[in-house]
Amino acid sequence: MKEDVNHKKVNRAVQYDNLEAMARYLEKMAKDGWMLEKVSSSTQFHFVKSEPKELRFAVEIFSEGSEFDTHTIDSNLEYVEYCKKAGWNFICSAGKIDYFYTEDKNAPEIESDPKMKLQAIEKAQRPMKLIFPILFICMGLGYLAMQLTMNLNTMETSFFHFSGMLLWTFAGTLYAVQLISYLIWRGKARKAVKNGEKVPANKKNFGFYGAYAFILICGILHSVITVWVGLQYQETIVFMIPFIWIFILLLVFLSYGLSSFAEKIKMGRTAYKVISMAVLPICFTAILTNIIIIVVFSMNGERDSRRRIDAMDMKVFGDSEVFVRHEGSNHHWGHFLLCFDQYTLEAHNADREKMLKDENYQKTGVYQIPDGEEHVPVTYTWHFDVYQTGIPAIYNRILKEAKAGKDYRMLSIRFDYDKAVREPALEVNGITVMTYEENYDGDVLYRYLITDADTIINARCDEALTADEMTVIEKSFMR
Amino acid sequence: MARAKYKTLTEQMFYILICLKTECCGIDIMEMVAEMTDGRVVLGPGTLYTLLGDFMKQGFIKETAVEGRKRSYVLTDSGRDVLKEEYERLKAQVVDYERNMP
Repeated sequence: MKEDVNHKKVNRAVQYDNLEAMARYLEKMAKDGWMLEKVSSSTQFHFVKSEPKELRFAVEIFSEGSEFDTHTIDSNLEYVEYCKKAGWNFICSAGKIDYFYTEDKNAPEIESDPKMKLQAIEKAQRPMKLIFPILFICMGLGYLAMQLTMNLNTMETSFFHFSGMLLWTFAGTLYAVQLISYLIWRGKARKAVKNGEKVPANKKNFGFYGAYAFILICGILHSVITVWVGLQYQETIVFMIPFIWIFILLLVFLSYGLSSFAEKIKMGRTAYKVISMAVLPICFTAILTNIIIIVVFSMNGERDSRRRIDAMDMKVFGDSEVFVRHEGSNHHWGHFLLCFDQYTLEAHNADREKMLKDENYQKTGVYQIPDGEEHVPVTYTWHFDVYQTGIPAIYNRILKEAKAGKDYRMLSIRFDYDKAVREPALEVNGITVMTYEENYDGDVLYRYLITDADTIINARCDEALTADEMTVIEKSFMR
Repeated sequence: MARAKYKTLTEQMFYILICLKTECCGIDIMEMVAEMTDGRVVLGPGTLYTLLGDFMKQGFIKETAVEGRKRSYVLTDSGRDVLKEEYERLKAQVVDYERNMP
């Protein structure tokens, strides 16, 4: 579309519940010498320079039209004929809306029955202002339910979960505000119409288009960042996130589909009442649950881990070496925090019993270390997985505290020397470092390096040792 | 439920149905109503269009001819009943008024 001295393009959101404002705007433009020429993509208004004129504009909902109409449909043209007969000149149609103008000050209003006018507005608003927010909020609740049934330990620490929940809370709140505002206006409008008054304009607009775009952008950014983070840790589940956002886009179409279905089966107004009555509790529950989860879990995170450590009743880190290693897995990305201590079989079994009572811990196989072999430097050795986070600040804090000897929550005990095969791995300062291969059904799962300083390094058998690992090994051997 | 909506007709519905006692083009009803009521009842084109569609669905009127985009309709028996009911209701109102407000 050309834009020169004679043409002008203006972007303006059309609000079904305040079409009057649009009509007044078009009148003002005509008075200033800009006549509406056409409307494209529902929000882009094309004006052409003309004689300044006092005109009357009408912006009307054509109920049989659809937001997805690409041209003026036949029944709309019939409707236009009716309006022409009453003195209204048709300019164009865009989606469900038809634009008319007239010079005749006495031309009757196109929609002369306020009750029918309100019905048309409600029908047009239904997909985006009623059904979409409800679907969105339900999806948010589903997302939360998913989070709650997953491992609670992952809740507040993971970047993916935490940012996702923030985003859902934000979006949910926006939609709830919009929904409540709409319902309030609808109540007022119905009352006004019942009293024989005109349909009042809804002047409180909570920036629907802006908010929607903002959420979408945030969602896409969230996806990109999470996928990027996921790539760092070879995490596969994060690739699902963009699909959630694609699904949200599909929700728009789903809203329209459900809306026309409701129309088809003649749910009528009683059903809407039920829906709207259910909406408020759903919104509040969603927001409250979100807030409670975020607040409680972030506040209780430390207490929570203390409880677990209490159950373990042991000092994990002490003065021993701490080594953190990144590990990608199918279920979470984590860093294996390895620490090593003297530990008796009795103590281990007692702790193991305690740990297995907690459903968050995964079951471990029976643990046994070959006795009497001179190359095993400690009697019993133990290592812990510590669930880690993608947020660097938290990650660094954990590292710092771990080095300071603080206790940590533990998620699993992976210790199975049953099928361990011992092999020399490398030589440092003249000492041969042996590895223990952990086999399972013939596959090598892990390879442990056992040093002479009570240090075990969990080395994945399919990866070479990193420079950091080498440093630790060298450090241990030089002590 | 939809039928309940037409239990009491609005003025506009009432006059549209009267106009259709004989076959006529939907689009001409606006002028007919204005003439019939000396301009007292103003019927918007949008309202007329929507109501004609509703009446068709309810079976109060039926389509008789289509000429390009112009459709003609005529009242059905069911439409007559609805109109008659409304007339009786209005008449009862008038009687009640006269009886109580001398």
